[in-house]
Amino acid sequence: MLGSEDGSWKAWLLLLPVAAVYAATFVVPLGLIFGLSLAEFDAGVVTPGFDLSNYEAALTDGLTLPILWRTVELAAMVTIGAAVMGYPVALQMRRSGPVLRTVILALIVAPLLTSVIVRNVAWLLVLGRTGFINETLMATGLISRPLPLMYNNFGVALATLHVYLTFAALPIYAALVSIDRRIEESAASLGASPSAVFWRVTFPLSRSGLIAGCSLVFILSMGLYLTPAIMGGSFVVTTPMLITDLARNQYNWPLASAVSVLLLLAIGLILMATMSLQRRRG
Amino acid sequence: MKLPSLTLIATLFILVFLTAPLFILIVQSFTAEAHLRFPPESFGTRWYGYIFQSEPWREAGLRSLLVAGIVAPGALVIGTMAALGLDRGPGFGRNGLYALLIAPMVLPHLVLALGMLHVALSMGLEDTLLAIVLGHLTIAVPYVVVTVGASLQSVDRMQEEAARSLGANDWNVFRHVIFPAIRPGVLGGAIFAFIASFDEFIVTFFLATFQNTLPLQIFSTLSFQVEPSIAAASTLVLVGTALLTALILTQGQVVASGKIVK
Amino acid sequence: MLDTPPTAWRDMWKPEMRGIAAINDALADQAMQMANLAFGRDPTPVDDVTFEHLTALRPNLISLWSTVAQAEQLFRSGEVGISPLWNGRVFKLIDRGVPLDFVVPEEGFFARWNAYTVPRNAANPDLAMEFIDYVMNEERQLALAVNLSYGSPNKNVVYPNDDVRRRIVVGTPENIAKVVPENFEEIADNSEDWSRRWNQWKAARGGA
Repeated sequence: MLGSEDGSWKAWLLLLPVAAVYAATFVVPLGLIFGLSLAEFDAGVVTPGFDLSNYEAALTDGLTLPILWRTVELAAMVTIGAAVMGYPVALQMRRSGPVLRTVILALIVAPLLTSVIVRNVAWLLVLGRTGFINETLMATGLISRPLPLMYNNFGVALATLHVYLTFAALPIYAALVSIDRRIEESAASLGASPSAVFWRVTFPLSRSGLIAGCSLVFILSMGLYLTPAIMGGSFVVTTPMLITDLARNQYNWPLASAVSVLLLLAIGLILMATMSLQRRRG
Repeated sequence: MKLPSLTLIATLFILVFLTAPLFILIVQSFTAEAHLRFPPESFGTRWYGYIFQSEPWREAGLRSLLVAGIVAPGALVIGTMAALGLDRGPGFGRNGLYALLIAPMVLPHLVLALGMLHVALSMGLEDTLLAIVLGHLTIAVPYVVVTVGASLQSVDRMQEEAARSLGANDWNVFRHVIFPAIRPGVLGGAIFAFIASFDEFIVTFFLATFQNTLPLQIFSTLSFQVEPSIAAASTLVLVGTALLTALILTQGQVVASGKIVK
Repeated sequence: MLDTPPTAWRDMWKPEMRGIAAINDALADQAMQMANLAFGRDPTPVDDVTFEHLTALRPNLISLWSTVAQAEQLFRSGEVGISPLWNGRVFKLIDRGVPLDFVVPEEGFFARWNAYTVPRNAANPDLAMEFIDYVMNEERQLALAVNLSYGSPNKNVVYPNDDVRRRIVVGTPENIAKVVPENFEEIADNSEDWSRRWNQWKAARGGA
């Protein structure tokens, strides 16, 4: 079944184990969420059915949509940060020798290896009112009152960037290394300044990596739960936090499921927008 | 040239941003004080001793090792088979299937966890090791599909032809031609799968009640008392995973994960 | 951190509390009823007026806390100067040298308790009753009062001294007089609406 000629249907037999696992832990659970979102909920009792009232409730409660919008805003903040910080790092990796490149790679991957809770504890120690940054700035007399660095979108976005930066930097790097250096060299030899070479040759050719990285960061940021819960001081409420509250505290699984489906829809829209961006370019 | 120096400066700043909190955490773990404070005034290994002696910490650590120890090889076998099947299957539908296979990596894990809990409850599997392992498998398999899928691109099909014409069957072709070529990807995938399971929080949070894993233990400690044991436990995790990553890096495979989104 | 110690819930609304106050997110129903008490109303109903007061409090709130460890860390790190917190936890912090005190607010306070419940059809009801007898016994209830500062419903428990009574809060008649009864039926019936409004208030823009 591993025949070299492309396209043997028998090769798909190798997908059977993954299909079995995904059926139990991915396809059926998502199907159930969808089914539950159409069920009726009254005084704690769930009645299966085909009922759009949960969606109606979610869209009109003046809570689900504003929180979804704030989740999008937060994700956008993280994405812009990841692109602005990830690009120079990727550029530097391409320009560096193998040793420095490996060091940079190791350091940008390092935060990914720490548990999300642990990372947030570390950020509490850095960003708090009496944290490292505020104490240092106060001691040097640069500020007289501690800056509000956390318990807001800024703190949550910064702590999220800490790990998602990598997901932007790596695809950008992958796109940058696939650029033929001779194109840039010929532009330079025709008299283009270094910044013109960058903005008119390198940057446009790396766009696919930038778009891929940004969409990945955006989608991942739409699922934020723990970081806003720990760094947001309760004032940063994301859609996953709302879903958890509905399911775990209010036991309203149908509404929690409807909000989950809306979240998945929003993510689907973002993916489609990304794909059409990539296609227009190609 | 003006740009290189600029990117170097920016990169240095960003690297400080990325590593400073980890550095602070490591320093914190060696505090001799009863509470988290940076910088600590006295140092010692008190909290390391504590987590090794404390029953809940030891139990949670061992359970995490056990779960990840089952999940990593499981994900490796399942994920490698899937990547191979995708690579050798018909081109039609390949991209769609690939997207489906790696979807659990990017979809909000909370939504998956909610659905998984519902399935577990209806089958009476909540708070069992089996449910946690299956849940983690789904989180871990995509990492193997991505890394092994990337390294399959570099397999020399001519050698396969040669082996086959000399009478090798599928298994022998895999064993002696394909596997040696994709070994770095397989190793990288296994390590990523191990880390993905070991650090997994939200799925376990929904599925487990008494089956505490290390991330859950850290979380519940954080809810009860913010104490330096968290810093010590996470420093151990950090060092362990850093060593594993050093293994991947020497195999030059991390860059392949840049292909996560196609 | 504070020049004059607060005496009332209402003090949380003072301008000098800007950015140094916190309230409890996990027991949001109490926070909403507290906002009513602070402005001379009954604990319920929770309505638009309640949320107008909570919104006025926003600039003073640096954070909400949902676990007691967060609250302790907020006090310990000097992040917060005023917050409602269980008396038992406050006195533990004081004993460990955190500069803090527990104030019984003028408007009164809510006193909640833990209850043991043996479900109908429980597998071992006798064992459960035996356990309840065990934990409710005088010796253990006294230990709870002395070590953790929580009062006991066991009338045979005699608190050893005034300090213990003060720490238990509901250990003195004048404090017991300040306990505001809660209408749990109303709280339960409205919990869905309250938590929707609470979430709405949290997610609204503005704050410290």
